Parts: sequence; C-alpha cells; structure tokens
Amino acid sequence: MNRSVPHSSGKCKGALHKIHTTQMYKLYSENVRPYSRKSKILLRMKLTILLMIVAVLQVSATTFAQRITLTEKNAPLEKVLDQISIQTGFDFLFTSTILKGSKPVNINVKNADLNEVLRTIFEGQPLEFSIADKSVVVSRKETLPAEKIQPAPIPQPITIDGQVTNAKGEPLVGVTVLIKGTNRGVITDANGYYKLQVNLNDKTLIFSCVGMIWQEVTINGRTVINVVLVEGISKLGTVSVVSTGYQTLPKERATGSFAIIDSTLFNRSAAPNILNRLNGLASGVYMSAVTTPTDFSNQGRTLTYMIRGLSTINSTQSPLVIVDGFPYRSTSPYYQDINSLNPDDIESITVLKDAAAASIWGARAGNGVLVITTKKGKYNQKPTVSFNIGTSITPKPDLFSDRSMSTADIIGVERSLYAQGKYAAYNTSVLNSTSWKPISQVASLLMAVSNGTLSQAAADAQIAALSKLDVRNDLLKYFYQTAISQKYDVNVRGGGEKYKYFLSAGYDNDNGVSYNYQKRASINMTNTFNPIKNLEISLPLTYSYNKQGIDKGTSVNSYSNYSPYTQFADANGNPQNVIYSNGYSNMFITRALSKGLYNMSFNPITQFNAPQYTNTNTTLTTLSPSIKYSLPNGFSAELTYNYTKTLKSTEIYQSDSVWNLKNNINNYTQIGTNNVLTYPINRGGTLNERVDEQIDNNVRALLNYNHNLGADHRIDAVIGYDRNETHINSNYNGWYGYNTQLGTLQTLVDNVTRYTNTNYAILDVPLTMTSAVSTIQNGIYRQFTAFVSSFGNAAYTYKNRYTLSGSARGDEANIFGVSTNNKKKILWSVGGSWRIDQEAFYHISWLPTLKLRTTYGMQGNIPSFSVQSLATISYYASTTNSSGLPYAQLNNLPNPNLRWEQTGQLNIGLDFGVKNNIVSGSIDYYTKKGNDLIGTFVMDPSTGISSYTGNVAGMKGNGVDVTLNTKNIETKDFKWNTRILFSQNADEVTAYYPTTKYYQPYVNSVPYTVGRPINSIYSYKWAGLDPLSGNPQGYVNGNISTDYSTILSSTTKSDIVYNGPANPTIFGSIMNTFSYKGFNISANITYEGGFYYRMSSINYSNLFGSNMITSRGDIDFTKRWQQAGDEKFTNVPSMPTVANSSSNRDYFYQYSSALVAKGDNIRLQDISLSYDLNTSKIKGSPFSSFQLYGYYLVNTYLWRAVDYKLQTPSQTISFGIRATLK
Amino acid sequence: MTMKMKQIIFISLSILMLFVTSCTKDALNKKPDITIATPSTIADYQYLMDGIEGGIISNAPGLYSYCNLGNFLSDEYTTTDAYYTSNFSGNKLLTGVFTWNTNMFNDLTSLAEWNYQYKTILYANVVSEGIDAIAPKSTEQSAWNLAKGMALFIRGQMYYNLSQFWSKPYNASTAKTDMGIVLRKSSNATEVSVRSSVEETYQQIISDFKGSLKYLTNTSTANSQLSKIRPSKAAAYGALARTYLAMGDYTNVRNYADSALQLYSTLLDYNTVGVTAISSLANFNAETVFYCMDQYGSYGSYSGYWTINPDNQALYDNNDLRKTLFFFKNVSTGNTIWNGDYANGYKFTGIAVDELYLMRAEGNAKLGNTAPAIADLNTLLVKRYKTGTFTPLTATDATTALNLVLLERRKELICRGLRWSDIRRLGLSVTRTALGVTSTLTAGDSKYTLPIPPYVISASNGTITQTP
Repeated sequence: MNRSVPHSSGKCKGALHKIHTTQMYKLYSENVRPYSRKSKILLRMKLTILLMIVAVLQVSATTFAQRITLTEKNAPLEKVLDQISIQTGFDFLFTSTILKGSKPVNINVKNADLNEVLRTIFEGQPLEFSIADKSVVVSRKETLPAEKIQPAPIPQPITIDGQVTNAKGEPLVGVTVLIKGTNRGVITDANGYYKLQVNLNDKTLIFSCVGMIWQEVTINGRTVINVVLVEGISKLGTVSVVSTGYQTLPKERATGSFAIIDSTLFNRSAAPNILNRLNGLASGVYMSAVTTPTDFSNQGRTLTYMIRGLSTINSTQSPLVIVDGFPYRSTSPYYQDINSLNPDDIESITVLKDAAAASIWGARAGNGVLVITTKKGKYNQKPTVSFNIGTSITPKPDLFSDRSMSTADIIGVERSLYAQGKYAAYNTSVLNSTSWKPISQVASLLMAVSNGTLSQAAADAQIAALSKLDVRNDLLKYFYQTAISQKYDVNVRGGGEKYKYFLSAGYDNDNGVSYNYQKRASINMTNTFNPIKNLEISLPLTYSYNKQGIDKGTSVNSYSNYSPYTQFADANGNPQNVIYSNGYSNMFITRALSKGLYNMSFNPITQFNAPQYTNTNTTLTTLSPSIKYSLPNGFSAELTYNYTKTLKSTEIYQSDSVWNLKNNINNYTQIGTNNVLTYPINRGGTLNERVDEQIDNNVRALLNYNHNLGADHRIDAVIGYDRNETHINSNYNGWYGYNTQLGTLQTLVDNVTRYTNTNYAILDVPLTMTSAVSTIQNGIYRQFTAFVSSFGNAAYTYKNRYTLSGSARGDEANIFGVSTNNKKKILWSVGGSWRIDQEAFYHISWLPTLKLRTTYGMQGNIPSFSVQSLATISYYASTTNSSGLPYAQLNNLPNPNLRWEQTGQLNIGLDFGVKNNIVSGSIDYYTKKGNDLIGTFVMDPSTGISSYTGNVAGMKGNGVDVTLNTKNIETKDFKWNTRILFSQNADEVTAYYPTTKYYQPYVNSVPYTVGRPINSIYSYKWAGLDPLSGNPQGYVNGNISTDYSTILSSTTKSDIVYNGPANPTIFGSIMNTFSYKGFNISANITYEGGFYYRMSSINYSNLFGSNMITSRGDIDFTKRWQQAGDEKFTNVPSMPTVANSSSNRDYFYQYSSALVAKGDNIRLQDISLSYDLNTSKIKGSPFSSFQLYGYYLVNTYLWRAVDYKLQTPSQTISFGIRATLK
Repeated sequence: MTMKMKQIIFISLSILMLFVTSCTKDALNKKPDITIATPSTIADYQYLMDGIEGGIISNAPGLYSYCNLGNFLSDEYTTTDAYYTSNFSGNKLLTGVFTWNTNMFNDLTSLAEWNYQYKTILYANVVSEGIDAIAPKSTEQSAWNLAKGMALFIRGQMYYNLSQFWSKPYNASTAKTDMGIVLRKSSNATEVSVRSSVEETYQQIISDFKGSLKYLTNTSTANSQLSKIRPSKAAAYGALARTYLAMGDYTNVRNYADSALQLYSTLLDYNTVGVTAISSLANFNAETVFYCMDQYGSYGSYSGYWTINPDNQALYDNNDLRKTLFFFKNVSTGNTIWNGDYANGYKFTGIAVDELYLMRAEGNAKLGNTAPAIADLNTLLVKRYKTGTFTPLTATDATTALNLVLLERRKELICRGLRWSDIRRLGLSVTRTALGVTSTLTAGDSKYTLPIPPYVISASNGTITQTP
C-alpha cells in the first residue's frame, strides 16, 4: 500500500478517477431555460436571492429524458457514451485506460431504451457495463466473470447492505457489487455503501473496482456484508476533491492552484499540533526551520509559515485558516488557538495558493488560505469505531552542543579581567553603591589572594578544580526531563438512512522537557439529519479544553545566571546556595537578614521548586448548525450559523519564596528607626489573572447551482452572503500580598509615593534612589470587529475540456477607522483551464493526463488595527494619571486616503500524469504584485509624530511550485514511491514612499529598498583584521579604518554591502516511501536555499559583563586573533583590554560581512514507519484495520552551505496503534 | 414529496436567508475598540490636554518639559575624571554635551527634547483647531476657554523651551535674520518644516502666551493641585516675563512678573518645610504657580555620571538653609548631590513665585529702580535663611542690585533649566576640564545654539537646515 501518494481518502481509485474523463452529464428538456445569469452577482443580495428563487421554481418542473436517439458511424466509444449521458442524465464511471482498447461504434437508434442501446454498443467490446442508481459503471471484462450484466433486479425478498472500504477503513465509492452467476448488481454510493436485493438461491457477491483486487464473498444468510478491498496492481494516481471552505469541486474542474493534504499524509507525522504536521508537505508552503539556538524543543512551538512568500510588508503575514467553513483566528488580537484542534479529527487540509482559489475569501485572504475539513459521519454505515493510542518521547536537550566557551576559557578571561582591575569596584570590604553585587568564585579567590587571606597556590588549585566543572551538567540533571507525551483518541462514525454521525474524543497529555505541560481534551460531535429527501440538517458541536503551563521556576534554568563552574548541589547531593549573577554579595545578604529583610541568598534547586505556577486554560466551544436543501435540478440552498466561543484564562502565581518577588518586596521595604520595617508591598505572593474571551458569530447563506445545461455545458455556481461579528473582552487583574491559604491580598497599593531603595539603606550608603511601587496591571479591553461580505463564484465547463471560472467578493468591515468611509473592498478573479488530454487530436498515449490552467485575481489583506483613516484618540482612566485626571491620547493623525491593501496574482499551471501515473504532478508559475501596501515611514519628528502609516508601499513576487510524484518500483509486494516538492519564490520592493534621502546608518535597520527583497541582509564592508592588533577593520570614505563610531555613523546606504535575501528563495522536500506487504517506511528530507543569515560570534563587551561573567561567550573565542599573522586564518577579532573594549567594535564585527553566511541546507526532517496487519487474514479479528506506527522527528542537518555550529535541535520518537474495529 | 412541499421548503429557507442578510449597517458602524474615538467634544479636547500631563510618557504627575539638558550644558553640573574615563569616553552625547561639541546628537535616532516637545505641540494644535470648530453653549464657555487657553499656553511653553536650545540667543539687531526654531502652527503633518527667524520665534511665543491670557482664569485661591497642573493667568504672565527676559525687554519683564505676583505671591518658608537629606520638596507646593517637570529627557540614564558643580555650594551663606538642606555628599563616590527641586525627585521646570520675584527684581534693577529690586530680594531671602539670621541686603546703585539679583538667580533657581538661558542671554562664559582637556564656552559663541540633530534633518529630507 502506498501511503506517500496524496489521494483523497475513500474513493474507489479507478472509478472516481475517471470522473475527470467522464462526468455527470444531465440533460433537460429544451423548453426549459435555465436560470439566467445575466444579472451581476454583486447586485444587492436580497434582490439576487429573490431572482434565484423564481428561477429555481421554474426549473424544478423539469423531468429527464429516458429515451435515446443517436446516429454515429465509427465513432469513439467515449464520444458515444458522452452523447448517451447527455441525453439520459446517467453518469458513466470508467477509466480512460479502459476505453483505450475499445472499438469504434456504429449505431443508429431512434427513441430507444437505454439498456438496448448500451447492449448494442458494448457488443464485441472487451468491456462490460452495469447500471445502478442513474450510473453506468464500465469495466474490463477480465475483472468480472464473463457474463453480461443485466439491468437492475426485480424486487427480491432479501436485502443485503453494507459498506466497502479500503484497508484503512476509508469507504470506497463506485465499487461494483455483483451477484455471482447473474448480471444483477449495484455500485457503492459516495460513502461506500450499497444496498442490494438478492434471491434465496444467490450464494456469492463479487466486489470489484478498478485499482483493487476483486473479492468474492459468500452471503451465508447474512444481511449486512462489509468488505475491505485491497489495492491492486493497476492503481491509479491522485483523485482529489478540492475544498475552498464553502464549496467542494473535483480538482479536474478547478482552475486555481491547490495543494491537498489528506489525512494519510497528515497523519504520517505524530506531532501533537497541526502546524508542525504540515511541515514539508505542500509545495509553496514555507515553514520556518528550527534554527534558533535557544529553541530546545520543537514540541508545542508555533512555526511561522507562509504561502508563496510574502504578499505584504507590514500587515498580517500569516495565511487565513478556515476550519469547516469558518475563519479561525489565532493571531493577535484574537485568541482562537489552532492547537485546540485535535489532529485526529482532521479529514483533509487544502491549501489555496492563487488568487482564484483565495479571492473568494476576500480581503483576508491575501496571504493564501488553509482550509481544514474535519471528519464527518456517513449515511448507511454501521458504527465504525477507530482509535489511536500513541506515545512520544523527546530526550533532554543537548546543551553541550551550543556555542558556549569552555569553562577553562572563561576562567582564563576572568583572570585577565581581574588582573586589569575589573572587579576592584566590587570589593565588599568597601561600602559603596556597587558592593552589593556578587562576584564569581574565581574573582573572589583572586581577591582573597590580593587581600592576603589566601595563598596563590591554594587559589590556583581551587581554580584548577573549578575549570573541570560545567554548570550544564547540573542544569540537565535538575531542570530538564525526558519529555513524554501520551495521546488517546477514539472516534465512532456511522449513520442510518436519515441520520449520520461522527463522535470523537481525544486526550493528549504532554510533559515537556523543561517541566512545562500541556493537556488537551476534545470532544467533537457532528450529527446530520436527513428528515425528508434532499433536506439535510447538520449539528456539529465541538468542545476542547487545553491547559498548559508550568509549576517550576522557569528563570533559573538559564545558564547565563551562573558562572560556568557553578554546582547546584554539594558533594552529598544537597541543594546549595550559589552565586547568582542578578543576586547579592554575601556581605549584603547578611546585612539584609540582620535588618529583618528576606533572605536573599539564591539556591537554584529550591528556587526551581518554590511554589509558583503559570497556567493557561483555553476552552473552545463551537456550535455550527446548518440546514441545506437541494433540488434535483442542481439548485441547493444552505444556511449556516456558527458560534464559537474561546475562553482563555491565565493565572500566574508566585509565592514569596520566589527570589524575584522577595527582592521586589525587599527593595520597597522601608527601614525605620530601631529597624522597624514598613511594607509598601505586603509580604506574600503575587497573583496575576487574565481572562480573554472571544466570541465569534457567523452567519452564512449560500445558494449553489451545479448542473449541466444542454449537451456540452456545465455550470457550477455559488453566491453567498457572509456575516461575521467578533467580540473580544479581556479583563486582567493583579494583586500583591496574596496568601493562598487565607485567600487574602493587598487591596490597596500606593503607587504614587516614591520610596527610597532599601538596598542603599542596608549598606548605609546615603543615596537617594526613589521609585514608586509599580502597579500590577489591571484593566479591561473590549474589541469588536464586524465583517459583512457577499460573494459569488461560477465555473462554466464546456465539453468537459474547457472551464472558465470567475469570482467576486465584496467585503465591508468596521475596522477602517471609526467612520464608515472606504470600508468596502471588492476583490475578484478569473480563470480558465483546458484539459488537453480530452481533445480528439490528443494522442500522446504515454501522457494520458495533461491539463493547463491559469488564473488572475486580486487578493486583499487586512491592515493591523492601529491603522485608522480618521484621527482617533484613546481614553484612559484617571487612575493611571497621577494628576488624578482622566485623559486621552492621540493615536494617529487622520489619513483620509487610507485604502485596503490588494495583491494581484497571476497563476499558470500544468497538471500532468505519465502513463499509469509513473510520474504525475503539477507545475505552477505565479507572479504577484502588491499595490497600496500599508507601510510606515519615518516622519519629520517636528510634525509631532515620528512615523506615519499609509498606503505607501508596493511589492512584487514570483515563483514556481512543483509537485512531482513518481512510482519507482511497483510490484505486488514491494513499492517505492517518491514525492518531490520544489518551490522557488522571490520578492522585491517596488515602491516605498517617500524614500528618504538620508537614513539611519545602521545595517540592521536599512529601510525597505526598491529593487531589493522585503527581508534582506545587509552588512558593513569587511576589511579583515588589523595585522598589528587583531582589531576588525571597516571602511570610512573608501579607506580602511578602525574608527568604529565613524563607521557606524557615517557609512552611507551605498557603502553597505547587500548580501541577499533573508528568506529562503528555494525550498522543498523529497519524501521516499517504501512498502513491503504491510510494512511502510518513509523519510522526508527538506531543503532550503538562496538566503543569508547572520552568524553569532564573540561579543567581548557582553563577555566582560559588569560584576561577573554571565555571558557564555562564543566558541569563536578559540579562533580569535592572538598574534600577528593570525589575520590570515581568522576573522575573529582579538580580545581587547577592558579599557579598549567597545560595544561599537563588537557591533561593527557582528554586522560586518564577515559574519554573513549562506543559509542553504538540507535536513532530514523525519522518518515514519508503520505496519498494517492484514486483518482479513486473521480469523476472528475484531479489527477491520490495525496499524502499528512509529515516527521519528529527526530534525538533523545533512548538509549546510556553511558549517556554523548550532545547538542540536530536539528529536522526538513517537509510536502507537491506529485501528478500526469491525 | 410533492412539488408543493419542495417549494415550501425552498421558500422558507430563502426567506430565512433574506432575514439574515438584512440589517447589516449597525455592526459596521460600531467602534472596533470602545476606548477609541474621533475627538469631537470639548471634553475630548480637554482629555487630550490633560493627556499631555503625564500621559504621553508615563504616569508621572504634571506636564513634562525638556529643559534639564540645559542643566548639563550649563555650569551647574560637571563630572570627575574617573566618571569621564569610565562612562563618557566614546559616548558622543555625553562628551558632546560636556564640551558643547556640534556632533553631540550624531549617534541619536531620537531625542526626547525634540520629539516630545513637538509631540506636545501637535496635541496643542489638534486641540486648538478642534476647539475652534465648536461653538460652545453658554454653559460650556468656561470649559471651552480652558481647553483653548491651555492649548495656546502649552504650545508657547514648548516653543520657549525649544528656542532656548535651537534658536540663536535674541539679539534685537539681527533677530530678523538669525535662525530660530521650527514653528509648527497646524496639525497637518504634510506641511513641510522650515526654520523661522529668531524674531518670528519670539513673536510666536509671545503671541501664544498673550493669546492664552484671554481664556485662562486667575489662579484659584484654593491653591489646589489642579490649579498648578493646568495653567492659570499668573502662569501666562510669568511665562511672558521669562520670554521678555530672554529678549532683554526689561520693562515687560518687570510688568509681567508684577502682574503674576499680583495674582499669586505665596512663598515657602524653608524653616518649616521639613526637608531631610533624602527627601526633596513636595510636589505642588504652595510656591508653585505652574507645575512642570523633567525626568531628564534623553539624559535620564546618564544623570548618575554627572555631579552637581561643587562651586555652587560655596555660593551660599552658612546660615542659608539651602546650603544645609539640599547639598550633601555621597560618601561612597565623594560626589556632591543637590536635592532641592520642587518636583519630588524630578527636575522642576515650571514657574514658581521665587522666580517671579527674581524676574521683577531684575527688571527693576535694569530699569534703575534699585529699591524695589532689593525689596523683592529681601522678601524672598528671609524665607531662605534660618529664622533670625537673615540680614537684609542693601544696594545703593542699580548695578549692585542687578549683580545681587543675578547671583541670587544662580542660587535660588538652580537645576530649573534656567541657568542655560541665563548663560545665553547674558553671554556668560563657562569652562570645563576633563582628563586635562579644557573646553570653553565664550560670549557670542555659536555653541550657545545647539546643533539640530542629524536624524531630524534627514527625516525632514533636508527642509530643516543646520544652524551655520
């Protein structure tokens, strides 16, 4: 079984595949005219809907013609079948390969019966046909017993029904079910169901379907027979139904550019979150690679992702996510969390990439759309229970793979700094404003030698012992754990004649490497009723509860708090106090204790376990009832209401044993005469609470029309109306002096009086440093957004070869300022496709699938909320103004010309399939051009504002997306498939007004430049190291210089080196899948290239620090210039003296060309392994499918253009069982 | 199912759809955020004016202004060689201010003294324009007057502060051609910024202050915090006196200082203020006419590197409370600390009664009225000496009186941002030495006018030109 080829689950590959070479022709009598589409879609909706009703009522009076009149001589069989289909309205299901061997047809009939005509046509053909439920299934004779199929049966006493599924339990559509020894049979419906009446003497049923191995099943008195068909040799490729979120259409008729990720592909990964699973699965979709050195874990991390590169400069850059037809909004200021969705409930994900696909989502779809469809129940299906139980294990991070200097090197630097007098000011024998600061153990030992209290030899011995230690051992031992996640998921789906359901329950329990946790429980329930024919009422309900947080002291595990030789426990393993870089000297701690203040010594292990927590509970409730009514003539009307409520509450508690809180309370504690203490901040814990509520109300009305008109015409159209209102209510509060036992808190905090800092009083240093107690924020936030949209989309297909599509959507929103001006935006698209392979002249037999498509359209983008067309002010309460007056502030100056952003995109695509789909795939080329992009530019600050936001920017982009599926080896037992994704994307700023003549000469803030990518890497020109001093050298006015201040301030834009784009311009993946019998192994290799990044290197000012070394430096330290001649081998500057150390020198080096590297890399993303038990061979097995799976998130570079050391990313191993009960 | 039934279902569904598609406009007209609005009422404009007070930067009481940079430019502050070595070296702003170097702002991308004062001017312009468009009812007249008067006063105040740094010192004979500051008279950000002449600068300041007089009320006798945060007539008179002082128009200095003192003349008696070594004078104290303060502006993080010039302490008599209450030594650094501001730890830059007395005295001394000048000095000083120790000053000629007044300005108005203005208008010279290198500011020096920060010139695309 091949799991790497994307295919829509649950389709009988053969039959439905050819729905793109056949299709459902239906004919109406000549005297009925279809509804006239002359009226413009964007007329007022009410009027349009009224017109539609009238049209629909007219059309509903039609009936089908059942008699055939036909004259053909030597006509291709396919053409003849087309004619019959047109005349009768019957659908023909067959594959093009089947028809290849057919003989030309001669026929001359008048008003003949369908059966007669078919019999005539199929006489002498190597083919057979069967009729069921307005469909004619055409198949090869070899696959069936060599008897002719007779027309549908006369009513019989016994009814047998059941479902036909594939090995994964997915229903198969279009399977022929034939009573052996007769010519009576039916085909399975869209849900794999069949119903057949048999005689008592009928013994055996034959299930056959192209692409599957046919099966004979003995009836044995049963009335329910479910069958699992196994894929056969003549397997065909991609079958797809694309979903735009409110409409599904066969991929064959689509003109736009889509990528479909079905549940099989999606479930290849065992990552607990949806976004992580999408990595490397669709061309044109870029997920940022895990390159952050400090990012220990990929688990639970939200990857940034984008579709086809950037479409905007300053507005939201993430794609619109649609879940079951409605927008899911998780980017600020919204609170919906995509991670609340249970990945096991997802049926498929469609990525809408081009304008035709996305423009229907209007002003929010400028960055592309991800359409997520969840699983639903099936009519006439026995309850099917599936479950998935899995575990994931992530080992502790590899802290030793980071860029830290060795302990010995850091001690070497400390010695050097000490010799230069760096720590003299921290000598605790003198009381001054710095003597509360601690110094490191090494510096203390050296100071003891200087003070004569320790011998040089003893100090050296102790330092030598310290240099063998590494704090990372203790960090790993005490603050990290092996992460274990468990997942339990069960779902039941089924249905009767008039009712179908899908119920699922999932529970995830993730424990992260740094003791963070996440628990998610979700229930998903979809009930659909079909009370009367053609009326469908659906009641989906989902509820999920997500709790994440941590109960440990998160700040203590950063090892820049400590010297590298710090030990958290003594020789006996008991937690011990350590020197904490942000803490205090021992002298200070003793003095503070004697005055009755909190003990400020720092014990990392105790601090890690001190009572405290941060937790966030998110509940998501969605209710989405809909009602749909279809008329047989192709019209259907659908009304959906969607209510989603997200409630997110965050609580942060710290007890007063947490060091930072103790410190804060101490700082304000006032020491009176006789050491009487008063507490502006009460002793006790702090509690912060925040509740965010998001309520989405959506209403959608849709009117669909999907029908054939006349012989060669088909129309698929939809018009709709959409209304969305979102309320966000946030309340937040914080309290000092919280006592968990008594529930008491400090209700009144004086945040006006300026208190003197106690630290000086403790040291008896008469300094006045005063500050007021900062309030723990409290307040409310209310936000409301409303969208009202009307849209229409129509596709017209002629002769099943030519499709023209068009769409338009008008959006109105309340976000553009508080007035109604310029709110409406109309976006549109047009497209066309040509199925070259369907042309009569097309005879390339090795390339049976060839389709050309193109679209052009406008996509929109929503600016951030701060952009307003009118001058706005914000009100603030008097309590936040110490003058005691309520007040307001100006948010922005008016911008009467503010417009929505829009991006035009042209897409040209080619879909192809080599014979037997040995190679199949698609190539898309696109260009896009963004106008009216909203940008911020520097203003003359004399105007009172330093920046201004308006429609000032433009960009263009272009790219290629390639998807290639190949079947390298395919035998009965062994298969090897490859899936190659390739994407190229380049963008460029085309306008950014006004371009300032002058600019700030800092390379990390070079303004957007016309002709350059939006995100670019620039650097200072590098002139190597000075051979005499090892100082980094740059240029001033073309001359080599070490005057860093001048280099930084006077390097002009033209002097700055442009290195290249910062975003990958080439990326993709190669996934190989091997299967042998039930075993399946696949590995995904991702690559990205054509971009640059800045490497980090040694920064001496940071390394030297203030009171002690807290920076871990950088391993480049060992490559630093040390003596003349080194400059030939290294670019790493020499270590300066304390006096010569300058942050400008470090800054210049950091932003010089010497540290810009090419980012090209190839990564082994993951390996997936599974074994499917052949349950049909196990007698009495309760399972219809049973799979053991394993997944290894490898996350490892195979190759990099520049070998730049980065902390090894985390790896995860998952394994589990996926099974379906019979 | 009958055709009729199908039709009924379809019609019902369609009617339901019609229903949901109607009534849409309400939602689209709702505000996305309840805390925002387009300003339209008198109250909105008053909120905006009160927002300047503290709101723009943080929740500190009262109006921010940015004159404290002047303290560091003047002889009131200095530094030690040790501080200079460890902190000033390589920092263009610190070394530039210390040596009056024209490159002092070259490394900056933002300077509070410029950006925030012009931001405040924008608020004043928005309010002034907005309030003009409102025809107040009779019951609203006083509220309307307050917003309008405040907008004018505050704009004048900001122009004055800016002029003390970036406008050349006033010289009547060349004022029409000397470069003044950028005057932003409307809220329209698309208007190009250009520098005015010194004459235009000062005329604008005077016209704003005088304009505000029409609308402001007398300081309330209640002497409340509010009456000090919001400007009063007395504040406007005081501000006019200050402006004329910078122009050397001593008749107006005397007259306007006198007008202010007619309205309000309460002095603090330092014998009774209860100041200790670590607490400065209270906010909104009785001597304050208009409260305004500076949290060091761009200099905030650097103030610790400076020390008050120890020469200042020597100016005071031993019985002078200002010497004992406000000066003390930091035992660890050996530096002198001064702690006598009227803003509880921040630097007071508003108008207080002591300054009004000193301005009236200087005006009178310049005009040859020795006796009233000395009388004002004595009125003030008796409240500054230990009770019973003050011997009234005497002077027989106006020059002696003037010198006494100027000395007293230096002692009484220390760290109010006024010393820099005095150095400029009086053409005083200042000498500073660090690491053996001496920098001097001499009379008529072009360094009396600060360079326009290069980032401002660049952001204006060069429409703002550098002072030659």
